[in-house]
Amino acid sequence: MITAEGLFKKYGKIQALNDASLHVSEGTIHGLIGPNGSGKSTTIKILSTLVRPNKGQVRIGGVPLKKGRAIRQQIGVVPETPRLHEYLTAREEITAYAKLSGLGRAETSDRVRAVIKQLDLGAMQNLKLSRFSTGMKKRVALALAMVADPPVLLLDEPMSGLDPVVRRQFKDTILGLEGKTVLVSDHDLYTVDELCTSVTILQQGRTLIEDNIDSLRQKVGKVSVDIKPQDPAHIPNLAAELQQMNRVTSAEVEKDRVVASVNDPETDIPEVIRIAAIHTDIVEARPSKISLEEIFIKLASGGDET
Amino acid sequence: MKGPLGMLFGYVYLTWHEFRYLISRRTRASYIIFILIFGMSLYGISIQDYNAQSVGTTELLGGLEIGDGPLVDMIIFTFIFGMSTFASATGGEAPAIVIPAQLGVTLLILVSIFLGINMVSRLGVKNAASTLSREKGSRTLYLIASTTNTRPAIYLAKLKAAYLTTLPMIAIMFLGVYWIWTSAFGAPGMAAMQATFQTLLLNMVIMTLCTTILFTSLGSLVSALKQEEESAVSLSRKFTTLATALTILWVLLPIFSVAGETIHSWFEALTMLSPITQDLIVLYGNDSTLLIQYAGIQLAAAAVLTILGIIVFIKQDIEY
Repeated sequence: MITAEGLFKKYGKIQALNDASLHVSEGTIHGLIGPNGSGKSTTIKILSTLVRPNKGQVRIGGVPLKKGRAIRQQIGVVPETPRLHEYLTAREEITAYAKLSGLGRAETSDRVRAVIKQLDLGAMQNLKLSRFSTGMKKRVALALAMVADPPVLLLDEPMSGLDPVVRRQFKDTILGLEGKTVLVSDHDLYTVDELCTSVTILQQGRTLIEDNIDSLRQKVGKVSVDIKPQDPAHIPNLAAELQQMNRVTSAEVEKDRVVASVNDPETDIPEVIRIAAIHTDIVEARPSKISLEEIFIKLASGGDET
Repeated sequence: MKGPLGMLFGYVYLTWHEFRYLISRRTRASYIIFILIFGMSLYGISIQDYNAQSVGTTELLGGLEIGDGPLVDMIIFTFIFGMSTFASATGGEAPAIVIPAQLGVTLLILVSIFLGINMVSRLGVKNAASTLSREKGSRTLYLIASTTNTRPAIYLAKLKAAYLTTLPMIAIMFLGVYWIWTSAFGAPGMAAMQATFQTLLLNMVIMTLCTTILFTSLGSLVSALKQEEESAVSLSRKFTTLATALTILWVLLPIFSVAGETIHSWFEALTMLSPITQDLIVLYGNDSTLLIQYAGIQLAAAAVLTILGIIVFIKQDIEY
C-alpha cells in the first residue's frame, strides 16, 4: 500500500533522510521507529505531501507522490503535536476539515457525527479548542484524519503526551480500525510493540531494517526462557552451562534468574529446561518474548548477527 | 464528493472559511475607521458651495512647467481667488468663496478618492499578507495542506478571500462619491458635467479594483515568502507606504516647480511607478485610453506576482 524507496531529504546542512525506504502492506499497522532525529517525522511529512524529498520514489496505493491531490485523497495525518484553529469548537474544526476535503453537506454531517462518536468527543464537541488539553487535541486530530474516511492513516507519535486512560482509548481506536493501513511513527517502542505487526527501523536517516516484528524476534533470538533456580548460588554456573548449548544464543544473569535466548521455542525451550534441571533444582521456568526495545538495541548496536 | 466537484466544493469552502475568519477577526475595525475617515473627507468637500464656473487658464501661471497635474488647478484657483478678493479682504470684508465644480472634483480625487484607494489597498495587502504566514506561524497550515486542495488552490482561495474583504470598502467608496455628486455637484447648472462624472465614477471603481488586486497579490506573495504573520504584514505595509509617498510626491510636483526646483523626468517617472499615482492620473485625465493602459499594467503585474507566489508556495515544505 505504501512504498518508499531511496528517500533523501536535507534541511540546510542537516541530512534528515539518507536513503530511507519503507514498505507497508495493505490493511496492516506498521511501525516506524528510531531514535530522535532518525527521520521518522520527515518520512511521515513526505508521505503526507507536506515536505518534498530531494530524491526518491514514493507510492501510496500505487499513486506516485507527484500526484499530490490523489495521494491526499487516500491519507489522513495526525501530527506529533497537533496545532488546531483554537478559535473554533471541536465540531466546527472537524466539520471545516470535512468540507475542505470536498465532502458534501449530507456526507459531512454523517461523517462528523460518526467520528465524534467513535472518538468519544461528544461531551466536548462544542468547546473551543483553546480549552483542550494535549490528549483531547490529539483525539480531535485523529478525528480530522478519519473524517474523510481515507484508507491510509499516518500517525506521528500518536501516544506522546497522553495520560494512560486516553492512551488506552487511542490504542483501542487504532487497533479497531478495520481495513485501514496505518503507519505509526514512534520512539516509544512499547507503543509500537502494542500496535504493530511489522516495523521499519530508521537510524540516522537510513533504513536499518524492516520486517515483521515476529521475524525480527527470530533474528535476534526469538524467545527467551527465564529460569529461576532454587539456590541463587547456582546461577553463575547455570548461566555458563546454558551458554555452552548450541541452541542458546545468549544466557544472561538477571537478579535471581538466568535468561536464555533461543531460536526455536518449540524444540529449544524444553531442551534448555531439561539441561537446567540436570544442573540445579528449578523453582520457575517461563518463556518470554524479547521486547521490541531489546530488538532495537541489538540491531542499532550492530548486534544483528544472530 | 470525489473528483472535480469535490475539489471545487473544497476550494469554495476554503475561500469562505478564510473570508469569514478575516471578516470576523481583523477587518471590522478597519471598516469603521474607513467609514469615519472617508466620510469626514467627503463631508469636508460637500459643505463647500460650488458653481459651474471654469477654473481659468494656465496663462495666469505662465511660469508653471507642469501643466497637467491636479494640484495646478488648486494653485490657479487660489491665485485667482487671492487676486480677485485682495481689495475687499484688505478693506476688512470677509470674501465669500464659491468653488468651481471642476476644482471640487479635483479636491474629491486628491483627498477622498486618494484616501479611499490608499485605505482599501492597505486592507487588501494586510489581509493577504496574513493569510499563509498566519497559518505558518501557528503551524496550522498542514491542516489545509493535507486536505485534497492543491497548493495553487489554497493560495488562490486565500488571495481571493483577502480580496473579497476589500469589496465592501470599494462599495462604500462608490456610494460616497455618488452621494457627493448628487449633494454637492448636483445643481441644475452643472448638468453638463453629468457624463464626465459618470465616467469618473466608473473609472474610480475599475482602477480601485485593479489597484487592490495588485496590492492583494503582492501581500499574498509576501505571505508565501514569510514564516511569521507579523513580519509579513509589516513588510507588505511598507509597500503601500512607499506607493503613497510616491503619489504624494507626484501631487506636489507643481509646487516644487513653482518654487523654482527643476523636476527631472526620471523623478516624475519614478512617482508614476506607484499604482495609486496611476489611478489619480486616470481619474484626473478622465481618459479611457489611459484607463486601459494603466489597468492593464496593474493586472499584468498582479498576475506575475500571483504566479510567483504560487511557485514559491508549491516549493515550500510545510511543518506541523
